[in-house]
Amino acid sequence: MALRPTYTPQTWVEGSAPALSPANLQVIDDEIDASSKLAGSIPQRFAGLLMRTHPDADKAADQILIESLDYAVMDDGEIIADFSGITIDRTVSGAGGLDTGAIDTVLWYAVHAIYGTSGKSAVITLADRWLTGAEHLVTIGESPTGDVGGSAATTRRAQSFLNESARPIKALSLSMTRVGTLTDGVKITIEADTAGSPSGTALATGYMDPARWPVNSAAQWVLAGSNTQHGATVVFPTAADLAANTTYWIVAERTGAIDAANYVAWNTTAGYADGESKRFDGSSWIATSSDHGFTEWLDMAPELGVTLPTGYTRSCKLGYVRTDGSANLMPFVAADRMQWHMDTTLNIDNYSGRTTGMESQSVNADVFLPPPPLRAFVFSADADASRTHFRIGAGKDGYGALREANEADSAVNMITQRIASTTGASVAQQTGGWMYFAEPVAHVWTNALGAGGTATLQIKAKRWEWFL
Amino acid sequence: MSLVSYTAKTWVEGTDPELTAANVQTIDDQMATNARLAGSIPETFAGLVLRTHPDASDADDKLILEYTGYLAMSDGELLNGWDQMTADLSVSGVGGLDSGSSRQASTWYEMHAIYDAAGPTQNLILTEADEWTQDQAFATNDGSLGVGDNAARQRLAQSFQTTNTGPASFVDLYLVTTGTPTDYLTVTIEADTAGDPSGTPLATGHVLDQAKIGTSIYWLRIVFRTPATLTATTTYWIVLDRSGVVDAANYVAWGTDSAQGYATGSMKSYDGAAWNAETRDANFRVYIETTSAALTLPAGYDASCKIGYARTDASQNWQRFIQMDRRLRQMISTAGTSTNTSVRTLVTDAVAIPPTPCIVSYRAAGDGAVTVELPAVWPVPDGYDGIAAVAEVAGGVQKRITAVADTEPAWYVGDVLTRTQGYYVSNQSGGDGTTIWAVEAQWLR
Repeated sequence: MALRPTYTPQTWVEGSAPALSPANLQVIDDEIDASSKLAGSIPQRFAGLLMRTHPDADKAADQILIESLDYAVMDDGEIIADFSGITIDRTVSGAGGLDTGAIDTVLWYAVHAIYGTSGKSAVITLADRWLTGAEHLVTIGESPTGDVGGSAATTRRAQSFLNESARPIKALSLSMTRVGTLTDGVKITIEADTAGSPSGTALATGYMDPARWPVNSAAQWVLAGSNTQHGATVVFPTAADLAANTTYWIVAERTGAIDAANYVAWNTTAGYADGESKRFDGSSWIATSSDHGFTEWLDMAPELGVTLPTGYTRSCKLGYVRTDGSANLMPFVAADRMQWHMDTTLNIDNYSGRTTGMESQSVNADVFLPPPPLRAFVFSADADASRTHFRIGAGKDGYGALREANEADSAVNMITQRIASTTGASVAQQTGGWMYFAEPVAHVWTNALGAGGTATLQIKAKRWEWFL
Repeated sequence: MSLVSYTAKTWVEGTDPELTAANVQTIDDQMATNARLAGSIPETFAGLVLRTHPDASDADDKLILEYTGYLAMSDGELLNGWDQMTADLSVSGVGGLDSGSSRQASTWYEMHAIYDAAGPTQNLILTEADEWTQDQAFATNDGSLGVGDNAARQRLAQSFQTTNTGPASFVDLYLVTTGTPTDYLTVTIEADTAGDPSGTPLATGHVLDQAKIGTSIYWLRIVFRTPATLTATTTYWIVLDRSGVVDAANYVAWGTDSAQGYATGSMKSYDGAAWNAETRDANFRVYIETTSAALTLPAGYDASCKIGYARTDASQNWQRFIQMDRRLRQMISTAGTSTNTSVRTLVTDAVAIPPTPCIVSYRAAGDGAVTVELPAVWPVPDGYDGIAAVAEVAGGVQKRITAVADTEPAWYVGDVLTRTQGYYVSNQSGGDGTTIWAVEAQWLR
C-alpha cells in the first residue's frame, strides 16, 4: 500500500461555471476515494492510547477498557478519531468482544480497534504464536560428539524427524556447540525424505553463526548431569509448510572447508523414536548410531488475523492481552505501544537450576511475552534463596549469552543478573534490563555458586514495547 | 478533526456532470482537508527538545523550543521550522501567555505551537493546565469503623463541603482490612438529601478488591473516571458500600476520629433501612480539578499542537527542566519521600509530575546504614494492593540497595504508568530508611 499522489483541485471561483469535463470529474472522483482512505498514510498507527484491563476490580477479569485513543490509522490508511471509552468483554462474541471462536486459556490475544458502517468498536483476536513441535532433548556433554565438517566423512550431518502438525516450521533449536575457533557459518536446511535420506532439496534454509556460541570445554561449559538443552536456534526467513505425520530431515553443513580442529559439534544421544541420524561423506548418506538433539518451532499464525464482525471493515492493532488458566484476562496497562504486566504470574516459573555448576535451557518466551518483535524489560527472581548467577539471552542471538562468564553483556542480546543473597527469595530484584526479542525464544543460563539449594528461579518481564 | 470520507457522485459516461457550484465547492473543501491530513496524526510530533532557556539570565521567564523534527497541527498539517522559538512568561499573547492565563506561582502550564496559515506565521503560546487541588482533608485518626461488618453498618458515609466548585476527580480514603474479605468495595459521591446521602451516585470510583487492601491502615486513592462537578459550600457525601453480605470477621474499615474534628460534615452508617449518625468523622481527602480555560488562540491563528508541560516555582519563575519529545526531566532538587515501612505511603508529587497520565521514572537512595533497603513504587490507581509482598503486583517496581554508602539518589528503581500526580511508595524490607524520587515523567496526553 502506498500513498497516492496529492491532487490539487481546480481553483473554484464562486459564481463561475464549473468548467469541468467528464474526464476531469472522474479524476476527482478517483482521487477523493483514494485520498480519503490513504490520508493518514501509515496504516495501523495510533496516538493517545491508554488501555488496560478494567480498573473496576469486579470487571477486570473479563473486560478491557480503552480509556483514551485520540486517533487510529486503520489498515486502509483512514484516520478515525476517538475510540475513548470503548470496552471489550472476553465473554462477548463479535464487536466489543472476541472476534471469533471461544476464549481459551493461557494464550495471547491481540486487541484491535475496528471501524465500519456500524461505527467504532474493538475486538480481541487470537494472536500469532510459536509452538514447539517434535523434539529430542539431549545433554550437550563435555566431550563433543557429532562433528559437522570436522572430517571428510562428516561433511554434513542430518537428523530425520516426524512432523505431526501441518504448520509452517519457523525455526529449529539444535543441541550444538563449537569446537575450536570457527570463522565460517553453519547452514541448516529442512529437506524432504527420499528413500530414507535427505532429498537434497532445501524446503527451508537458515544460517547460524557458531563464532558466537559457547565453547564446549570443562572451563566454560560444565554440564555433568542430566540436564537437557535445546541449544542454538536457527530461524528460517521463509518458513516451510510441513505436512502432518510426515518425515523430514534437518541437515547441517558448515559453509567453510573441512577443518579437524575447528568445527561444530551436534550432540548425539540415542533415544528419538521417530527418526534417525545420518552423515554425508561427500557422495552418500551413511546411517549413524545415535540421534541428534533438536526442537521444532512451528508457527501457529498463518490462519490468524482479526475477523471483522458484520458492519466493520477496517482495523488497527492496539496491543496484547493474555488469558490465565481460567481464561480470565491477565491484568495489564498500556500507554501507546508500551505495556506493563500487573501480575506476578506471567513468568517462566520455577525454572529449576542446578546446585552446582552451570546449565542452560532454551524456553518459549511466549509464556511471558506476546508475539515478537518487541523489546522487553526482563529480570529474574530467586524463589528459593539460593546463590545464583543468572543469564538470559533473547531470540536466536541469545544463545551467545551462554558464553563464558566474563563476556561483555553488550556483546549479545542478553542480560546478566547476580542474585547474591537470601533476601532474593520471591522478591524481584529488578536488576534486569532491556532485551530485544525478534523470536519468541529465550536462552537461560544459570550458574549456581556457593551455598544454597537447587536454584529455583523465575524469569519475568515487567513491561514490553511491541513493534509489529 | 478527523477525515470525512467523501463519496463522490457516480459518473455515467456520456451523461452531463449535473454538478452545481455548491457541490463542486464541497469537493474542493474536502480535498483540501484530506490533503492537509495526509501523512499525519494531528497533535503529534517528533524530534522535539524543549527546555527552560539555557541562558541563566532568561531561564526564569523563557522556554525555548530548541529543536523539532516536525509538528502535526490540530488540523493535520505537518510543519517544521520551529527551532529556537521561545515563549515568555512575562509576555501576554503570542509568544507568551494566552488570554485566559496569568503568571502564577507553583502552577503547571501547557506549551502549544500555533500556526496562522494565512500569514503564514508560526509561534508558541502558554496556557494554564488543568490541575487538582486538595480541597478537603481530614486526617486526624484514633480508630476505624467497619464497612459491612455489622448489620447496623452496611454502608458508611462521610459528608463534606468543598471550598471550590469543580469536578471531584479523586478522593483519598484511609482504609484497613480485617480478616480476608473477598468481595468488592464501591465508593460513590452522592448529594445530600435531608441530611443523608441521596442514594443516587453522582460519581462512582473504580471498584476496589477488598482482598487487596492492606492490614495496616493507609491512604488509598480512588479515581472517578467520570467525575461529578461539585458546588462550593454544598454538602455531599462519600459513601462506602461492600458488594457482599455483612461479615463480622472479614471486612474493610474506614479510619475515623472520635473527636469529630471535621467541621463541615459528619459521619453516618446505614442499617438497611435508615442512615444513623456516628459519633466520629471519617478520614478522607477530596481533590477538585481546577479547570482552566481552554487554549485561546490569538487572532488569526487557526491551528495548534500541544508540545509540553512546564511549571513555575514559588516565585512564579520557571522550574528548570529539559524535555525531549514527551519525556520531561526536572532539573531541580527535591526532598523525595522517605519511608522505612512496608506499609504503602500515598504520595502526591505535583512538582515533578505534570497533571496528566505519565510514565514516571524513579530513583532511590539508602540511608548509609548497614541495612538492606527495598524501595518500591506502585502506580495510581492499581497500587493500592497492600497485601502482596511482590513489587510487580499491580505494576510496581522495586530496587534492592545494600551498600553502606548508598545515600545518593543514584539507584534506578523503575518506571510506572500512573495518574493524578500520585504514586505509592514503601520500603519492602522494612529497613531503616530509603528515599524515593520521581525524576522523569513521560506525559501521555
